[in-house]
Amino acid sequence: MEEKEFRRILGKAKKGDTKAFRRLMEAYYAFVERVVGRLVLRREDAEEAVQDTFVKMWRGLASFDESQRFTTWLYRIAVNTSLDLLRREHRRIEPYEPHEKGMIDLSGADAPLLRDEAWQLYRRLAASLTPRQREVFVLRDLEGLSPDEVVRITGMTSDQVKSNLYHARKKMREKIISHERKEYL
Amino acid sequence: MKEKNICETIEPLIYLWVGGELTEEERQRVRAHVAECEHCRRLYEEARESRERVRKAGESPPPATDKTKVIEGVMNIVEAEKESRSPAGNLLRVIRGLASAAAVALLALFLYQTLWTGRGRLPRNIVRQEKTPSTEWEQLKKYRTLFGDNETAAGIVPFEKILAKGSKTPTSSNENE
Repeated sequence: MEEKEFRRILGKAKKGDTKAFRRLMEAYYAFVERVVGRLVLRREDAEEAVQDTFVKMWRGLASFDESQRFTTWLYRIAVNTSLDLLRREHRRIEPYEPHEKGMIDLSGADAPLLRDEAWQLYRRLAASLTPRQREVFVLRDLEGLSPDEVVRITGMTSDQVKSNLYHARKKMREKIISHERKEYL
Repeated sequence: MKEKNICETIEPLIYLWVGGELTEEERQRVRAHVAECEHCRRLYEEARESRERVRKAGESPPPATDKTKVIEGVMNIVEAEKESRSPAGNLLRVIRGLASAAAVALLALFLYQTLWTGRGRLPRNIVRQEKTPSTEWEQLKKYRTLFGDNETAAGIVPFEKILAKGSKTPTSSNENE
């Protein structure tokens, strides 16, 4: 969606136009689905979190300040909604027991199957992180946001973001190494 | 500072170095230490490789959600909320509010009738009939102070006299008569 068209639709949606809101939702569905899916890790939870995110987006649209980036605002809603769901449900994911060895090549003929295996690997690794560690890891390492953007979205201080990143990366490295050691013994 | 202590200080910085979160000064410090320390160089390689590995895995798309179902679910909520915000919705809300207030008032009235008065919703004439013996009993008590128990028990004094006497306050002069 072009910037001019986006501004026009956003303006209408802010005034309560449900058709314009629906167009916005369809345009940002994949974005929200991706962010939420990486945080909550399960399909059924993702559906609930995506729905809640868009309902909150509708409720907050009228007061959305257009001088700030729309995606930053939407990231914040999606992340907070996902964390609320994780805290509420105390979801438990199976421990890390991947069958893959080494780096995964996602460009070959078996790409769909490998993509699913890659997702399962990520899912199990991410499940070992606390919600806060997972939040900063997803925003910084997967979404590729700048440290300042991560601070704005999460509401953490710069030091808290760094601390959570350190613990997340350390935990994941240790999980991968301990698994590989077991395989070679 | 001992070598082990330096490595402990450098370790968190290595994990941030691989993600590019260090200041220039911190980066130089870590780079200088890693060039000399075999342990930290190995840690750096492992941290970099594991981060890349998780990033590759995490970049694969999560399982798709049911887009149509989710969007319809959101639109149902959105339409319902918009309806409740419209002028017709406001009027409906006012009517609902008034109906609720009336229901509360009726409930309060019913509770007052049943609990406070203890008579429920009895007809007024029944309530009055209950009051009468109580009034007569009071008059009879006054009469006893004026005429004594014997006359009352024998039924000598007519009821009209009791009422007439009962309206006066008994005094010592009356007793002398």
